[in-house]
Amino acid sequence: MPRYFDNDLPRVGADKLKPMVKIWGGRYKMSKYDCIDFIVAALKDPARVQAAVTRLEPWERNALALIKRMGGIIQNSALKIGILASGLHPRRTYGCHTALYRLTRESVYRGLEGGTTISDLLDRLQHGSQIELPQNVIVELREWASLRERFTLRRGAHILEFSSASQESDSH
Amino acid sequence: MKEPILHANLPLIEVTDPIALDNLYADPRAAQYLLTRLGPTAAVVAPGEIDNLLARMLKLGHTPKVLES
Repeated sequence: MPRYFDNDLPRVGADKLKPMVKIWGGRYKMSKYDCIDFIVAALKDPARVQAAVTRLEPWERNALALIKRMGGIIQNSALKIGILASGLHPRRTYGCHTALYRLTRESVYRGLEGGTTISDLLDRLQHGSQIELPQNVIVELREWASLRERFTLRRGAHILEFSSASQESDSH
Repeated sequence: MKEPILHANLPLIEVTDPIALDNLYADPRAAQYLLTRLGPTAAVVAPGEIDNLLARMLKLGHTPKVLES
């Protein structure tokens, strides 16, 4: 199951990542996020993974597990591409190469106020997702969209005032 | 018989459920922006206060649809 948010993931500093990157054949002088990108790319080579994983220290295994999960976020995020396409505001950015976005009731509301329809939003999310959108996500998004229908504010309405109900019915 | 009167460019709030408007009136900070209730599901907003009402509603957790007319 891919993770969409990384709020509760443990942090791995550059001091831990750089030695691991060196073991995996990368350059030592890389930023933390370059290291992560390098390892995520390296994880796509099963032979390399098999050869390297046996030499990893326990902390390196933990870091690798974390990076695998982060790779899952980046690759499988149903939310990232869809929200990019719908112009919603990011709630959280990660690194210099990737960005994670969080759908909130407010961000969905801003998107709808900006002219996006709920169907557009769901279509874009589905288009950008490698998995079928979970039903609870669809239901929740529809619920948020329906909340917007409860209140309507009109900035400049025109109202006809009749002196009586009979006058109103006569006017029809 | 009196002629009908046209009130143009009035800021207005409409709700789908009368209880929603009751709840809005129950909040003093929101109610101060409501000029008069036209019926169970509509009320006139005080002129120039629609953005304040919108801000208050957002703070209350409502997400109103905003239309120009």
